[in-house]
Amino acid sequence: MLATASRRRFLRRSAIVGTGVLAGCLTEGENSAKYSTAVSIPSVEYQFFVRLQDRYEQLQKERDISGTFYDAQNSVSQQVSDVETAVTNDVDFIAISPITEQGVTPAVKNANEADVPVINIDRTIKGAEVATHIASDNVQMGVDATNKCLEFMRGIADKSSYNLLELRGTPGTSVANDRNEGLKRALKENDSLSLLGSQNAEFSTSEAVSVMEDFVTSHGDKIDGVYAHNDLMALGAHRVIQDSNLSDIPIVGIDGTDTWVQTFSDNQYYATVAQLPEKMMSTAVDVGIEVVEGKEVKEFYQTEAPIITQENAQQYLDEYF
Amino acid sequence: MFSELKVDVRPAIESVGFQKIGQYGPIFGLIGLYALFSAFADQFLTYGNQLNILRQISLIGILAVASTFPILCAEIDLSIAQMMELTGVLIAGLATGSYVAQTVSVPVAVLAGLATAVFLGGVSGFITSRFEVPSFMTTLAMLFLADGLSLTISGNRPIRGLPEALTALGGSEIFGIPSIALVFLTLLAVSQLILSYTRFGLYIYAIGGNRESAELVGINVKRVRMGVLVLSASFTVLAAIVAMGRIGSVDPNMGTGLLLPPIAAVILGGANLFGGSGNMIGTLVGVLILGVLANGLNLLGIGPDGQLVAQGIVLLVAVLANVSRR
Repeated sequence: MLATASRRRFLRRSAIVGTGVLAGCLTEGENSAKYSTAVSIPSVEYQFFVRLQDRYEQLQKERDISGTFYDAQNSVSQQVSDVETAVTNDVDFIAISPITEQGVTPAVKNANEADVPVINIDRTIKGAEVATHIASDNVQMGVDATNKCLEFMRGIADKSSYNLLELRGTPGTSVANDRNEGLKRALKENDSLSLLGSQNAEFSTSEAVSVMEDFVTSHGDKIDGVYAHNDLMALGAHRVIQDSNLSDIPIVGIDGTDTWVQTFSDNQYYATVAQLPEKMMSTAVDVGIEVVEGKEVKEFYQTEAPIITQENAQQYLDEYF
Repeated sequence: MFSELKVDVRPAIESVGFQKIGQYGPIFGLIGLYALFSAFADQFLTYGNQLNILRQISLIGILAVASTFPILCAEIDLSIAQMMELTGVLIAGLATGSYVAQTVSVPVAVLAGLATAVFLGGVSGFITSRFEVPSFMTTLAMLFLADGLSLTISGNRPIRGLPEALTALGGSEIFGIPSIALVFLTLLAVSQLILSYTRFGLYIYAIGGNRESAELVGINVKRVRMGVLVLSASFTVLAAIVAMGRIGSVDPNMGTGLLLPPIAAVILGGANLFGGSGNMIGTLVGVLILGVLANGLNLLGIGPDGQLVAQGIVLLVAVLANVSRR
């Protein structure tokens, strides 16, 4: 009896609190900004999209726009409903980074019909009309990372051939495919570079530790350098190399994660190709406003991806973190 | 006491004894893998590589031990990988002073992590046992909750610069043996002792075998069902700490990909997915099968696509062997 009563009281209280919170959220949305906008992204699991979100929140104040940030939690159907909701709310433009190339296409077509301009950021949307596409080139980042690694290997020893290991991201993702394509291009361009081994480590540090241990077991001192599809896996490789008796092995990652860049101060042969989500987001908002105001815009805006090494690491960390 | 019972708890009592530990199917599978890889990969049987295998299986192993308790009790805990993320982020954040201005001493940080795990495990356990919500659902909810909390707390940034007191448990060696493996094997042994020699262990098998009968003989079913989920949640603290030693940092997404392998290992080792039978030695064998397979394929230089195919085939054969044994 007592239990029932307290449970009822608990439910009633939570209902009151819940209503209050909801009301708070609703009133917050009302303001008199010049343009209303929306951003839909795959998942805030990735630091890249968190940085995108932070910049978006700053931009709302700087550019006098209102905005909603939709996190699809890696679910394609969630992202489709996110975009539909934004269209229903009649926003002035939507910036979308799709989970898969085709997954969000129906919702983008829906936006096309409702005359809501779609700004495609980062990953590509296929099969529907977008106003413009803003991205850094993942294939080119792969080429740059591989070439940087080769440059380091040449700096350490003069050999006729250099053996590179590749730590790959989750198979089937466009990012992993593109970054692998970049490596292939660099291999074709440089005869002195050969691929010693290539293995999937799921973009994860702990997977990369295990895979790297097995690489060290099977290849040992034949290893000249490591190219990782992201910085988290580069951290894993660093961990294993540090504990082994191998020395001076260059490791190059991609993304520009602060924890990876922080290791550069002790390691002159480490590098990353940094993505700049902040720049991508500002370009998206600025180009979006131009589209709404009826100005001509380009079909594609490439966001630069600078190479970070020991030399510019501190400057990079100060600017973005 | 149990001789007076009318209900049939014999299967339960049998699984408790060490006699039933020789569940030969999975062990033969493991021996087969060893023979295969020794023949084709030169470095496979070296001392160094065997130590590597021990290092590589230990994290999944600890999580598998944690999963074994709920599975034996006919429950399931889907939240352990994300609970590991959450406790890891909490402990590392407190110990490095990432969230509060002042650093907290390592024991206090670990206790805070443990308290969180016990509390959240308790919430899952309470909702499961009190309101008859399947643990599949409560722990799935807890998975999202823990994942979200760890992302929020950490701001989705990995944490480096961990104090050595935290990384020593997973990253050092004692007499040439990786400490992470010693932690895993100790936990495994203690867990088997709990299952074999305590009343709590006996009750787990009884409830997993037949919950109604267990209730009829006067076992406090609610408490035990809640207990297994609290226990599995608490073990994730250990998993988080050894993970820190292994990867040298804490990543709020470090549980990604660790949801199913521990459960697969438990079932591979011969435990019944629907509760009542299985033991820790089986879990060890299951973890070894998964670990040896990945290590051997890596040494053979099999690419990612081929590895997935090979893993699929081995899992199918192993599960088939399991079923035909019953």
